[in-house]
Amino acid sequence: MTRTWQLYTEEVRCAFLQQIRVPLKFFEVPIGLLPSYVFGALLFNPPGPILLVIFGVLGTVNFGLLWLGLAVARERGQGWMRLKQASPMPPLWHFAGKVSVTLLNAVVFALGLLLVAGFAGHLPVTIGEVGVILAMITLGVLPFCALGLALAYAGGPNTAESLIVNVTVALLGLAALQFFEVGPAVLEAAVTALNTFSPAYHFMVLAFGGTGLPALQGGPAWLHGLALAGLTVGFLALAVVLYRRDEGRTHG
Amino acid sequence: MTGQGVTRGLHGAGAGIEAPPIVELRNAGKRFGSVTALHDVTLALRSGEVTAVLGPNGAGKTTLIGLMLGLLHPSTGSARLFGLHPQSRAGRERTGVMLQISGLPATLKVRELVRLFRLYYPEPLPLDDILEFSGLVGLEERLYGNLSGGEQQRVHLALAICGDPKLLFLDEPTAKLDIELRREFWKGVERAIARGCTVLFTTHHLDEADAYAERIVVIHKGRVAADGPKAEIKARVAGKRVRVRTRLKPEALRTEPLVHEVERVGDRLEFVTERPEALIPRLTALDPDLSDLEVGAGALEDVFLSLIRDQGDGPTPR
Repeated sequence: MTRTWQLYTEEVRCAFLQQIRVPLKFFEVPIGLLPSYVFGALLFNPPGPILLVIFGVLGTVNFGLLWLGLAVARERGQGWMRLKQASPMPPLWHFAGKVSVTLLNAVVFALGLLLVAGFAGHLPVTIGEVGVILAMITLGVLPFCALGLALAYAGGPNTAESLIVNVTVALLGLAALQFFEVGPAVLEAAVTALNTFSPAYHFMVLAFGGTGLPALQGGPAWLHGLALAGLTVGFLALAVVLYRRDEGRTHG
Repeated sequence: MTGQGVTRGLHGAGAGIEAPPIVELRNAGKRFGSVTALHDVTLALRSGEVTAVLGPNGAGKTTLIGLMLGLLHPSTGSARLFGLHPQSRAGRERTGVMLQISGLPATLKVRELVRLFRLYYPEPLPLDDILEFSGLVGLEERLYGNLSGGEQQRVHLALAICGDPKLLFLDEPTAKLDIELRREFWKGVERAIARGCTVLFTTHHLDEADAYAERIVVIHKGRVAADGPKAEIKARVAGKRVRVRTRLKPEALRTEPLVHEVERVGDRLEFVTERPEALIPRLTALDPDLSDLEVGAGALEDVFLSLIRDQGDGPTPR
């Protein structure tokens, strides 16, 4: 086994063990969202695919931004990243390990969501559709991971934590507003302009695209896919710049 | 070797040829906003040196180490680590670090932490050797968060030496340890020194600097107040220490011309004087029943306090 592969697998292993040894940490996002899904399924009986999509999007955004982003910001505040930055640690493999565990979490969440949807929502899905949903959630979490990493290094670690939470709420809110008439045209134009840079909006359009409901369409799917890919690359580049500028701050 | 400092010759390229420094700061300064933490510092470490960096809180010791490690970018001047940019992996692969603030994940085991860090280095020490070296045998399967303060410091030491470094930075490594654990810790560091490691450490325990360092650097208000071999630094304070058990009160003796400083330490008085041979008869005349008289060389503490006093800070002599 090459040293690089050993290093990557060890980073994945450590990132996984760190979370699995904290009671319920692995199930943070599912525990937060799945009961809400059940409640929604009971409230809007039958729930239809829209509820599945909404919670799928919420989970995807949460894993990338809140789960990964906050974990990295907290490790900065703890001083763990400061020690690693002073060592010859290759940052690529450290963060690749963290993103890999985030993807694993997203897959487990997606499976849980489908199971709950199947039992509580009585939602019949084919194997093919299960594959598509899993792929969408797994790949869809990547732009939010990239944004989470960039925000985790924006300012000091305490500022970063606050920023991550606020940005998550803002992105989801703005994305939701896109699909409703919010008032004056100038305001709608502003929302549209802001959402151009929002991975949550593009992901939501792609996710809702499968429902076939005209009110939730947002343009050709390939355009939103391209936007997500571009935003992922852009956020990653920003994360690299911010990481290199970081001086091992543990507060602020 | 224990407690006497480790003296080793420089590993020069040949007679009369000085080996290049392995760490170098040239006119390096660092500002944080409007605060200048370090002013125009020029400092070089050569292979084999054991250097203590002393200074009061906020003097700039951690900033100095940060510049040398490449954790901080100099606002002015330059820093070099093994002749390379301090952030270069080649330089850091030869370096081990214990930082003042570096919390490790509480939910990883000792063995997992060491195994991960070993992989960052091209030629790490064997895992079992690292654990033995650091006094962690028997603690491998314990979670870091469940260790005592002293045990956690040993894990930090293990991570610092796991790459078999040529250079060790230790930033206040014994700050949280009691005297017994400090002694154990320094035994581990002495083993690294015996393997040829260059060491730079910061400490508030002047006895550690006195015991283990060959070279002393004193930083105060962001500037180098003193830099040189330990004996040379200690000789700056012309004076010896006289300790005696006596009923005399320190307040009554402060105006004595022969007395630089006097303080009560337990049931004894401690004097700093340039002429102990003249002071002792004077004390005997004042208190014929004085006992347990000791005369010793000036301490590093005296130098340190004298230096920071000269810079306009620190406690005034009693």
